Amino acid sequence: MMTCDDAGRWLDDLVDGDLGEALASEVRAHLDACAACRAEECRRRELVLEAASLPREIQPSGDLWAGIAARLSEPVGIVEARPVRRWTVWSGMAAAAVLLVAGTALVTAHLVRSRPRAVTARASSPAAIVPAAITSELNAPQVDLERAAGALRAALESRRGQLSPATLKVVDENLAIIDAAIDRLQAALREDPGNRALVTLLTATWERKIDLLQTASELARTS
Amino acid sequence: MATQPSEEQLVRAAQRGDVSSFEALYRQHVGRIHALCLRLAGGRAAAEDLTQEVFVRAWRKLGQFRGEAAFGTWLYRLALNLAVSERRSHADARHEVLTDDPVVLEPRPQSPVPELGLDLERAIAGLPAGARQVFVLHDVEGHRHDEIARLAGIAVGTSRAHLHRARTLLREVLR
Repeated sequence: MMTCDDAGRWLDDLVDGDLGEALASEVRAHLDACAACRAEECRRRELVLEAASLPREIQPSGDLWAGIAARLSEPVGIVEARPVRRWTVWSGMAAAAVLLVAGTALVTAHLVRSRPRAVTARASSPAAIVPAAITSELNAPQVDLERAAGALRAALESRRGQLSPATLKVVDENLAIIDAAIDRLQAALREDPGNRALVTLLTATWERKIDLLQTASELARTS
Repeated sequence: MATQPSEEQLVRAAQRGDVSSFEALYRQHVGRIHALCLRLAGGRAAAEDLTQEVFVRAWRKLGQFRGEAAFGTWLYRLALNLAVSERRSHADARHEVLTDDPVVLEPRPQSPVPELGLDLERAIAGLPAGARQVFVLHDVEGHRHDEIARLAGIAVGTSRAHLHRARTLLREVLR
């Protein structure tokens, strides 16, 4: 017969409908015989109901828009067509990309060192960006990001003539740096396929590449 | 009489750089995003910072929104990822144990949410951060443990343990 401690351990799963039928029956049998645990189950159900019925929207106490609007002019992603700022934009991006690679290398080294290495099959195909062990979870977003980057790269290539040689040089250098970071992260992930921090870094690096390509394409379009 | 632009039209205009359209999107969605940020952050100032950051990042990433989901869904996912990753980075900075020991006492938030009158809201704000995060995501937002575990980088069992602890603490506080 289940004790109160045993039943208490499973009450949340029972309330959430997460218990298998056999275990649920055991817990219910205990509840039938124990008024205290039955009352506890009832209170937990009430709490769950109350939490689910909390308001879905809460307005901030003050208007946050002014603070947001002030930051929208920061030239990341959507580029302002102000030539005077372009060098600033690209300088900032170049610095950010260098930091990205340096940071990525350090973090990657740290993450790989700090976790036991899993025994995995190495991904030999370029399409196998993500190790098989976590493919189901990660493949879709990574493939989407790679596809988006590919499309943006093609769009940029078709407009290269519209960018100045100096700008093109900065763009190409930054893309090379980001691609190197992606290669390192993919290599690290092949060594340690369960490392979610590496996956997060890889996704963020793909997003940085997409941001850069979007910015460059937009610059080319408006030049 | 001029008709109001649809959300799709607002998104397209914002993607072209139209700030006023983005402001209209902000006004439509800020309540939902702020509610999530407020409950996850556990304090008004942190929640407002987080809400602002969500919209700034949404602006920067608008080019990646392709309309496959509703804009509100896309924005919500962005807010969720940002709020959880912020929480993780703060936890890392404080060397909190996130993965395997939910019983470890985490620091309580410095300032609860003063504008919330509901007892439950106040009690949620007073939960330890890990337990609060899982309670909000599971019981308020309706996410499953496997989703929460993936999002927060914790084991499913840890998520369950956090939820159990959160409900137990809330029961004690609300008794």
